[in-house]
Amino acid sequence: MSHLSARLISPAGLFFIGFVILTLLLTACAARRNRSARDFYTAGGQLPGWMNGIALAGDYLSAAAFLGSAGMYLGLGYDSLVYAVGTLAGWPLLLLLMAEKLRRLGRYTVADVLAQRFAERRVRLMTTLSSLTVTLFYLIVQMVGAGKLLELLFGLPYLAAVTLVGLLMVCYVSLGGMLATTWVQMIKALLMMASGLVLAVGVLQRYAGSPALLFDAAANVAASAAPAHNIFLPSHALSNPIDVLSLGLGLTLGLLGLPHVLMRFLTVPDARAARHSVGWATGLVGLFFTLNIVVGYGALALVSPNAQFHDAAGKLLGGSNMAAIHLADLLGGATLQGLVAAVAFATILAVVAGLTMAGAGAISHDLYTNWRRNRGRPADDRRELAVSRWATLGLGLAAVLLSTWFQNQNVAFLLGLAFALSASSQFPVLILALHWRGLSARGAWWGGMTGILASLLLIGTGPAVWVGVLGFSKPLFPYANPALFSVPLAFLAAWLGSRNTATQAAA
Amino acid sequence: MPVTRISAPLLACLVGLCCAGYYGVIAFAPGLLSGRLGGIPLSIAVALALFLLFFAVTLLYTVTGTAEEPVERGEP
Repeated sequence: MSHLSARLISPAGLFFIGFVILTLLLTACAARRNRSARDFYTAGGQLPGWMNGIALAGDYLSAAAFLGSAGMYLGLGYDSLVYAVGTLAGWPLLLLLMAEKLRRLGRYTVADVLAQRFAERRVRLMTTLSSLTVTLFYLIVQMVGAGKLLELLFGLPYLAAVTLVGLLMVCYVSLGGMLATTWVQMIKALLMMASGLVLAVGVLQRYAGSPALLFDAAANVAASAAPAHNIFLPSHALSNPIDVLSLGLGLTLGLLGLPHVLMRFLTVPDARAARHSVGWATGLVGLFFTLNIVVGYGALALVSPNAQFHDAAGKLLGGSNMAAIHLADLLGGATLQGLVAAVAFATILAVVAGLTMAGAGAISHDLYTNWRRNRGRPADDRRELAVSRWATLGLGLAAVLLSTWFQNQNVAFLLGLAFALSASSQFPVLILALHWRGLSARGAWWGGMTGILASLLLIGTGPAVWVGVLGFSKPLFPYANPALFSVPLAFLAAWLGSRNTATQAAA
Repeated sequence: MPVTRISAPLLACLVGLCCAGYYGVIAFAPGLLSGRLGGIPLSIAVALALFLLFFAVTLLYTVTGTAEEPVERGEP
């Protein structure tokens, strides 16, 4: 315990405690403003576009973008940028295809959008199920990042670390609702941009401000370790064309189905504010990804050859996700390391809070309230909010336990799977519901369920789970990312279901 | 006003095609991205150009967007 106390008095501990106190105060302040379910789920629906845009960037820039990305540059070089291109491409597509329509049709959750077209209970159930599945998988990714970070910084055991994150998350969401989540997201997004900038400037200073010299240095370091690998081209992990196309499809379309991102369009007053939100978010996310190139190759050039950051077996201390933290230590000592670690922790907490908000809304609003309505009972805001708070607790517990299975995998890779799940289950039904009049309730049901089941099955039998978690020597499904198969299958099922409805109606 | 209405699908196609092209090159001919452009690896320059394109498309649509139609937020 004294060992832990000593670590908490370190710069990392002080920044960490400061951030937690600040965000809990904000949560208490937001809690006083929440008077109705609308306040709780959508912050009253009156957030300005710029504020929602910064919070959207905060929602999106997760542990994977900060910790996983730098770790991937260090381990695999250019692969990290391949991930970044696909995920950034989702933003203009989200704006052009969905943002304004979502704002006009939604109320509290994504399921409300589909409820505008389809009264059938099973469609709402399917949307809720897919929202929860995506949210839970995404939560697992964040928990893995948080657990590893706290393990490295404070020597906390993994399970204790993720439990602490889970407890804080329950406080933010169950007390402060969407408003507290938005404030936390904004602070975190700005802190993250600032720390990315400080790290990038620190790296470039070591190379006379020249990116070209940095890239040369990174290439030299990599060549001495693995002469055959060109760090500016995709690695062996992206050598299979099917895997690459599948990854690209999942990353690009995954954003358009993420419940915590889509829910943000219900917090602004009009379509103009929805557009402005995406403009702000795209700019901030693009800027951060650009800084990440310097940070990532900087980690490769500076951290990789440095023995103090490796164990006796030559592995990076804390695993590959800790590359940015070690880089901060190297550039600015314990103070900068503490600051960057606290920002990384803030990142995780904020994203986890946004995700839980979406998950709790799906359970309390989509499942519970509609279950009451179907039994002829009126909606009750007070009961719904109580259910939402219990749902937050349940989601936190589930994420903590499930994350232990994936604790040794790179979070950027896990994020790719979460995006594939989202692209296969939520996106096809939503995009068809918003743009195709021919979609029937049966089509929506078939498409959504096919997307969820196919993506889960292919992830479960693929290398990440079948080999990485279950320990088999060879996967049943050979590709790391399922999107190239599961997304078309979901569209096909939606079309067949709708066609089947039309045929029956004609008969 | 009609500019955005007409261009939204076109802009979406532009983004989709550029993205498909990029992943197509990464999948089938990554060697095309080797080499340098002003000291910067070509692969990184291409990725940065795509970042810029995505932001430009978003900015264009955000700035020239139409006014919101008077549609009420729906009840579930």
